[in-house]
Amino acid sequence: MTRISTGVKGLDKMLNGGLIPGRAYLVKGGPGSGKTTLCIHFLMEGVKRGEKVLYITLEEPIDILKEDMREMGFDVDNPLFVGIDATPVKEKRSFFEGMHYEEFAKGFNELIRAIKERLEGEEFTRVVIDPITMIKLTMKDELEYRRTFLGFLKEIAKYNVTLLITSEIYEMGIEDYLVSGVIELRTFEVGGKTVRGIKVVKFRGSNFDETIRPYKITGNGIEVYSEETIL
Amino acid sequence: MKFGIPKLDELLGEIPEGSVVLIETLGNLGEEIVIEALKENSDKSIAFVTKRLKEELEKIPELKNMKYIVFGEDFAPQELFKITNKLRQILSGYLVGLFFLQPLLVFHPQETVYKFFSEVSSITHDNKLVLIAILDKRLVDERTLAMFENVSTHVIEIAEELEKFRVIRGIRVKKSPKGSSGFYELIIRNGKVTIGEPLG
Repeated sequence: MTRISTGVKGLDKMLNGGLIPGRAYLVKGGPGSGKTTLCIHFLMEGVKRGEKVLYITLEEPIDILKEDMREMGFDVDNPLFVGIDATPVKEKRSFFEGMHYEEFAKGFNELIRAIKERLEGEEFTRVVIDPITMIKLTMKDELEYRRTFLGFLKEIAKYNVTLLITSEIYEMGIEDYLVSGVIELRTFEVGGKTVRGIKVVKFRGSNFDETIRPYKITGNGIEVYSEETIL
Repeated sequence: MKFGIPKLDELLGEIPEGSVVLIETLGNLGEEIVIEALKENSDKSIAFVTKRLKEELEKIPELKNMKYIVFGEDFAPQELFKITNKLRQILSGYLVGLFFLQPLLVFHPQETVYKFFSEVSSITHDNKLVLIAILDKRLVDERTLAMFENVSTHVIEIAEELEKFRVIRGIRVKKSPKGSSGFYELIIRNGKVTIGEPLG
């Protein structure tokens, strides 16, 4: 079976060679766990191979994100890297105060339409939506969210792109069932220091390493110690 | 591998690659034994040390080619996986001196340090290294000490007794493929290790 690299060597080993292309995967983890960095590794690996990639941010403004990623040595100014800023802040919507849930929910459908248009117009191979949490929190009706999310995945599947979605929610959600794989980024407190662990929770169609492996966020991005364990 | 201490080499025989030698001691007593072994094999030796010990070892001319991995500098005490990762990168045939089980026991429960030591033993075996580790036996309970011994191929025990205000130090081989031995007198003077007559 064909595999594509995540851009993180140790994670590729855990995934038995990398992700299966053309499928959707979920990256879960708390704030500061490195979800965005992992996704950028994934996209930049595509860029290195001459592929066109799409990054959609729903939380962190794209300019700030690019600045941080440049610091880590990622070539985010490469024309093959296309970044879309879909943050509600941009539209001055204060969704945390609960005032504009519906507008933002409608916005999700708009967003799906916009993504589809981009995918129809250009040949992207890798797409990231970071994070899905925003959308989930803005939709009051769980059933509607499921329907919308499932519809979104079906639409995306038509374009044969490999999709990474990030989520800050640890509890099992509908996304966990609908995607082909789930990668969790966890943190542990050991003697007053944070030790980070990465776990492949699910990976349809492939064997994978089920052990939580330590990882570090360094000045050059994420480094996974695929042979080590957190003792 | 040989220690370069005649009586100890006679008791242990040649130590083959893949061996883990545990020195159960009191405090830092017996560090000199590991240092003798490192001197004897200085071209292919690596020491996992504290900053204090690195400063001391750097003063020894015979150890000028030795490589160091320093506790608190090259890795944080909480990041045991970085130590095992470093160890995995060491080439076969190297002698590794592991001097910081004691400080690890300050940061971690003894079960965690045992798991770490077990992982270290496994890497030593797979990568065909020789590892000498020094452990203050007062810092772990008997059960954990037995587990440490279980994953070691060779165990050397150092003990101290008071005889009318005179301290007598003894050393014995507790476990080795050649069998065990009784206690012999251990004399350490000016960093030089001598093993004397049998005790008791």
